[in-house]
Amino acid sequence: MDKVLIAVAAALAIGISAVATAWVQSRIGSAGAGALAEKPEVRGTIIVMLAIPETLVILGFVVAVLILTGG
Amino acid sequence: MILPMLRVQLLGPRALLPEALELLQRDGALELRAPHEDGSRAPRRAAGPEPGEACLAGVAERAEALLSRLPAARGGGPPATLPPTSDPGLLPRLAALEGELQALEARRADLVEEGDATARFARIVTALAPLHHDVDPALLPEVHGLVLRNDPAALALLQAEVRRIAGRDCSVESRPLDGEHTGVLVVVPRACGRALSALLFERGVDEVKLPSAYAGKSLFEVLLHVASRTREIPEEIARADGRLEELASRWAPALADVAAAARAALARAEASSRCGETRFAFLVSGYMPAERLPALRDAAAARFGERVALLTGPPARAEYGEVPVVLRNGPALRPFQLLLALAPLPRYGSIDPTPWLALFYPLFFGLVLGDVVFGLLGAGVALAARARRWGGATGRDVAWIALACSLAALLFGLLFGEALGELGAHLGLEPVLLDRRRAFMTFLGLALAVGGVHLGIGFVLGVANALRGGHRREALARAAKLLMLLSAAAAALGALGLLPRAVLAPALAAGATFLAAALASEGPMAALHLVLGLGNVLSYARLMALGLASVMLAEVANLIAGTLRPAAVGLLVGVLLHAVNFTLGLISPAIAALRLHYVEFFEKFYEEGGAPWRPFALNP
Repeated sequence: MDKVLIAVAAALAIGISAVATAWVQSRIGSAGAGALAEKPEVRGTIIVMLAIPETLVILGFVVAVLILTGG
Repeated sequence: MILPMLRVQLLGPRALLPEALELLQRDGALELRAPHEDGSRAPRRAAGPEPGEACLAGVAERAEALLSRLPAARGGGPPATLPPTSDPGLLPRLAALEGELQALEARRADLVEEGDATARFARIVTALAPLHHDVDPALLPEVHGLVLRNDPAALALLQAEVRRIAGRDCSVESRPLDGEHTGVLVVVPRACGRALSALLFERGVDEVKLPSAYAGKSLFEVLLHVASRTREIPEEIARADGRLEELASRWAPALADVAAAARAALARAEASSRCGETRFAFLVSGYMPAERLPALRDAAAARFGERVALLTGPPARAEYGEVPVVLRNGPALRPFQLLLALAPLPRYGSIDPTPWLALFYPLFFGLVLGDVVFGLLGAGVALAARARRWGGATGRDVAWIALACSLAALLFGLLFGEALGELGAHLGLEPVLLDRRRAFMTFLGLALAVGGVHLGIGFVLGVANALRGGHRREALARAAKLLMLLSAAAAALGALGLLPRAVLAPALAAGATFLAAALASEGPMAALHLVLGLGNVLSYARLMALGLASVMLAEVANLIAGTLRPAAVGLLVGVLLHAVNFTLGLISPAIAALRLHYVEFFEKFYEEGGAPWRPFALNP
């Protein structure tokens, strides 16, 4: 039972943060596509902005690893 | 590094301004700036088009238009010359050339049109041969060629309409031209010709219009003429082309010279509006790289002697925002300037981060990809791209960056003992630094330590930048934050037992002191910046996360290759998964490493706002 709970906890840690990242990236992506259509020179800025919310899922992943390894 | 620039002022008698601008344009090093109107400098000349500027623009446009209309020159006769742009005789000469070219183009277009019509008509006539008609020659029969879609009803309707117009004195012959079209030859008395043409126009019938030379000729004469013109037209077109090429070889060089001279004169006229002038003197000012000054000084001395003074000096700190920026790095570092292209240029007087990008970008890439096979594969592709010169200059730079990243991946692959995941172990490859597949926490610690060092360097650069800019308070705040983070790191290591526990208390005390110093020099925002700094360090955990994902995908590929049956399918799926892993391994670390630099590292010291150097030159 403990193993199941640990697995569920790790899955929630990575799953919820992944959904959050995906939602934020969808908003940034659509706004970025609009901005790119008008100003192609902001391409680099948009790529970097799109990568910013990745921190959420990265931290979720680290937490999941900590849960699974008992760290 | 950011190339040192100089503020340069050229001062001399007003009459010499055009010559001075010509000299500067040839030298091509000075970016012009309008003198300030603060009373201490010469007043700026009233802006607006000078008499002759519109004329120069017109000359340039007309010469360029003529050049674009001329075919490629293939040597030939001696090149002609045109008067200089200041000569009033130039415009009439250009007009004459335009007229000559227009006549030749019109002649060629007529020939092509006639050739098309003749070919179409000949096609119909050939299909309907032998030709005969029942129209009385005394009625001066007129021939109309038509192309209709295969439709018997339409043909019957046409016959009925022609008979309605011409009565019995007409002939309508038709034969299929191809699977879809039918050629029709209608012969009517000349008196009915106009009515027939009107009818065909109204019904939208595609009539093969013959040139006016065919008008009024008998059918036999038309046939003879068609045969003769079919032979002659290509020769005449070739002659017209030859004449155009001759015109191009004679006039293209002169036209190119005139266009370039007019553009240069126009640029000088426009530049003169950015110069200061009084009744007797002119002042040209701007910025140029310090290394180009000796050449300009020598050229000015040779041309003007002591009549024009060249005043130079380093730009004042207050005007750093206006100074153009030129990045200059060694051949090994220069390609990494490409990675800076996604961010605005650094401000003059600040720090060029290219050397740090060249060091840390491949390091982060290698830390994530870390595989001997992928490293060798990437290096091979990069070397091939360089050898084959893919993508020109930009491609060469990208290949250089890719080579550095691949070598870093190879190095870390050796340190982690990975070659396509655990396959390296079968080849005798042992982890030297750590085993990423098992030592998750050590790998996380390594990623955070690398991040801490990276951000520490960022803080140090920030302190140096603030000191350079004369912002001592800001430098103090940044130094306090850096020392505070170092104290926190020491305390954390002490608490984890990685440093002697005795370090913990002094580290906490030092941290509190530095926090107070940061708060005192920067205010309450310093506390927020410290929290953000800790968040920035944690952000480097992505290096561990992406690296772990890469090695786990390699493990899955190996597992499938070893267990799936039949073995060939397992091997195929395994290879495909490794290929996917390699592709992801190229994209993910590239973006993550870039983001770590742009968002975390640059935030500590980078001052954007530099403008690229755009010198006043003949070919800007």
